Amino acid sequence: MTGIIDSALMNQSTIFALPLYGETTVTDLIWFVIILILAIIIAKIITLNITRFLKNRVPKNDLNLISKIAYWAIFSIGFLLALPYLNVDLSGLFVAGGVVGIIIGFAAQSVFANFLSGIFLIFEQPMKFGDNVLVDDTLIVVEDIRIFSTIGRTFEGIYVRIPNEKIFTTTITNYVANTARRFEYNIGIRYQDDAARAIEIIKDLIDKEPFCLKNPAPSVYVDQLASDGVIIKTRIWAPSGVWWDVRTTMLWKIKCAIEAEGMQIPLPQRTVWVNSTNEENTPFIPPTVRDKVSPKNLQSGVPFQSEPAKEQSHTSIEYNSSFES
Amino acid sequence: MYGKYKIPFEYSDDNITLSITEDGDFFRYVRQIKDKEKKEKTLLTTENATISINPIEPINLPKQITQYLEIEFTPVLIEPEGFKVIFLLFPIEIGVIVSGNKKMEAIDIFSFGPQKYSLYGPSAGGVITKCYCSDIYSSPPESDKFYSGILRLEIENKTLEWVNISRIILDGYSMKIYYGPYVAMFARIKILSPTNAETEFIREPVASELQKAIEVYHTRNLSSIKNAFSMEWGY
Repeated sequence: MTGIIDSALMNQSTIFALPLYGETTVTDLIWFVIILILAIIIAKIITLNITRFLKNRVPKNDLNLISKIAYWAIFSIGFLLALPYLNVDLSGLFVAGGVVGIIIGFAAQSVFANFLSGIFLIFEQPMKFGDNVLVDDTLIVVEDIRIFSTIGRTFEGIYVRIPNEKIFTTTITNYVANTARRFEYNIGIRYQDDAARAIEIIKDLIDKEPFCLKNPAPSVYVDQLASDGVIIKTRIWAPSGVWWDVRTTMLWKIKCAIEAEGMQIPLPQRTVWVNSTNEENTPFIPPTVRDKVSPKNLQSGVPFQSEPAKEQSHTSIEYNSSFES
Repeated sequence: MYGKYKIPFEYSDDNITLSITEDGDFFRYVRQIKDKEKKEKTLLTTENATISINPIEPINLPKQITQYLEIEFTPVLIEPEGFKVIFLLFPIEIGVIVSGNKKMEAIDIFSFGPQKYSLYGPSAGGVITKCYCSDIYSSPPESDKFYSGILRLEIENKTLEWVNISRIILDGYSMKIYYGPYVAMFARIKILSPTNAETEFIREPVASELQKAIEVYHTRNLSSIKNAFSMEWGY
């Protein structure tokens, strides 16, 4: 096509073939200008589209920066493509540019990496403003996603700036990206308490709480016959935006409701059996307890109670590792 | 209770007391529901302001976290290319809306019924819905207009299969509520495929004694109004 236009111009007038300086003709100059104009038009179109696409995704300052960078990058490519028409020898420029590029590349490696990561984050959108995210070990509320860094606030109100490269290359846990999320409790009751009744109470409470989602349905079941009590697992789904509030309020409501029915949260208990048959096998008894031990009780097979007059279902040396009400 | 009032005004019945009284240069709004906390608000306005009390889109309480209302009902089976009308009940939320200088604002929203949310679709990509369970009726059921409204639902099965339908999701942005002797909405569900259906509201009230309720979502100037909701995760 260039040849056709060239020949058309040449046929119309030889003025286009006249050298302006060196070997550069008017035709070359016209081509140089045409390429530059095309580069400007393409740059403007692309910049406009970038601006439209990113308008609601990035802050205004970053948007200006991105659009300017895109504009001048496209213009520079056009300019370099047009330069040969002016018979400018670019080899020296490329060599110099290459050397300078390497130097700048090394110097600005992290800046460029952060910039590129910022661009990718804008497109990928693993988090939005206001999201609760865990980046590496830092739990933040996202306040701004900039072109080089992401700004957040910890739950203690501390300002946190994380380079985009780090965010892009590390694991991001977004706690509110999905519409709903599940949380769970392990509710312990004593063995003598009615687990079926406890489950009924918990289900009733969940049913009455608006933010405990109906679907997916909650699950409440006996999960463990643990050493200290029966563990009732309670799994509840809640809208992501309010799950923390629900989680914190429901636990106390469940505790109060269970206790109101006469059930109790069990505290750790240990039962120790003393079974001494001879002197060598005499069990170790702490000095504080030994004083209370009647020599008669230390005979083989005779159990001992450290706390007198307590109701016990079996005869044993029984003490609590912590206090039980 | 429903209707338009000039301020100051007072309303009271067995369950609720509502009032806007003059207090110097201010107007005090007080709402007291039986056995519930009192709600108060101060209005800086003139006597030209008016108050409208009417049922509004039932998706605001206890906290506005969704725009969708889900009504679950006893499953019904509809024949291929069938068309049927059923009646359901939907929950009522009552809005107290103040109007002045051609602008409206909801100063209070309350409800006498229980609230419950649910999730429609998967946790990633699904939507939170305000959930309500209803029986199905072949004719308009009796309802207390302060507790529940009547939804006339047209079911149109465009598939060539028998399909089961047990719930409907309605978009609050395009919700049209009418009130009078009872509260009503008119909606349609088109079953497009075994997993996909489309719901939309019908804007014309069937009964002439009904008047259109003021929509809270319009007073909030929400511009992106979508007329139909696509139930792409089943019905």
